[in-house]
Amino acid sequence: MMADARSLLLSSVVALGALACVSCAGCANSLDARALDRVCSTPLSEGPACEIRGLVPNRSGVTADSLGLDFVDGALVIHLAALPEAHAPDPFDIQALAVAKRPGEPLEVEVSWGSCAQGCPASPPLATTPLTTEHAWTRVASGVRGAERGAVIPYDARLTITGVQIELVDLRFVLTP
Amino acid sequence: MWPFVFALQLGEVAPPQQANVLVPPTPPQSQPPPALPTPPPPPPPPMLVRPLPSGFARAQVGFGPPAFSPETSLLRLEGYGGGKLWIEIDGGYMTSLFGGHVGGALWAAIGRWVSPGGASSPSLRETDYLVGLEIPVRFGSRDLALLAAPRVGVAHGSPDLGGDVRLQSGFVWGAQASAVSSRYHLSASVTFLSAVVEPPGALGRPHDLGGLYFSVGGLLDDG
Repeated sequence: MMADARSLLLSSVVALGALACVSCAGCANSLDARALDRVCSTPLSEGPACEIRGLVPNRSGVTADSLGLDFVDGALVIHLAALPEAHAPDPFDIQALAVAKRPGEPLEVEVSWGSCAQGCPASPPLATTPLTTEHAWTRVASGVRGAERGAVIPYDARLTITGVQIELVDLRFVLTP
Repeated sequence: MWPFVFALQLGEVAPPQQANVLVPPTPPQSQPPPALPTPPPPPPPPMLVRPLPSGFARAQVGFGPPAFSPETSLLRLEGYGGGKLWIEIDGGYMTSLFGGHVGGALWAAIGRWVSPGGASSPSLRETDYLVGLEIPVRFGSRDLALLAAPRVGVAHGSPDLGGDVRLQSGFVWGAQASAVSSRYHLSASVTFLSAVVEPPGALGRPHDLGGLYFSVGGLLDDG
């Protein structure tokens, strides 16, 4: 009887331990996280890689040392010269890890090649995508074409992300399948 | 005449003379000796039962998922996952007031969560420092006993992505259930700790510095 109780006790501890260890299986994902930090920290000779316009009071993200934007009513301007995907003609999608504070609030994405005269594609139309009120990755632009290889991308070629009552945590730039 | 004599002889058959039979004389009936009181069985040899130890100290290494929190979920959306490594020690005294089953102890733990980033992504790192009190409750024998210990204390830590961040502090509570063997100096435990802190970033969510983990280690005691 005592031996049974001991076996049960030991088995319970081992089983719970095994549960604790395997419960995080699948937790780790392959990732290309923090593209927002990476792009905005790219040095450009003409000026900063990213600019904030409008009312965006909070600029720390998911951690104290990461970038995030709390759009009350404002925009993030990313100069395309800082974006590696813009230096190749392969089309890419832009995904945003964001949340709307009000249901259906959209995130607007505009790509403008500015004064680029050679090797740059035509500017695509404005993309407007409503966001959910839960954090999620949302594709906010698709099939954006980059410049031809070797083309010089001017500083006024930019990607502008605009929102109202939206928290932008991160961005991802992935090649269009 | 003969029949008469014969009849007479038949009638004179003498009764058996028992007095002349050689029967060994029976001894006079004697009283059985009075029964002596049976001596009590000898007491069993004293068993060498060693008392349960009163003082103890343990060191354990554990692994398990970080505590579930909105911040952890957000970090998982970013792609950061994996488990948290724990190193912990505790030590205390089992008081005789409750038959040696209840005591008081101190505990301390360090939790380390590292999730590597991609080729161009920073790694997520979090180092947590926890210290506090626990009330161990023990049932069992020296060979194997259950040691359950509710815990309280304080925790310090914060996740970072490679930069310098300010440590956050919070109240920690939880419990540990262990199978311990004083005989073999071993301990195996399952622990749950929760230490809710403010969002680590402006766009973060409430975070928890605790976790659920399985640990094994050594046990020293005075038993």
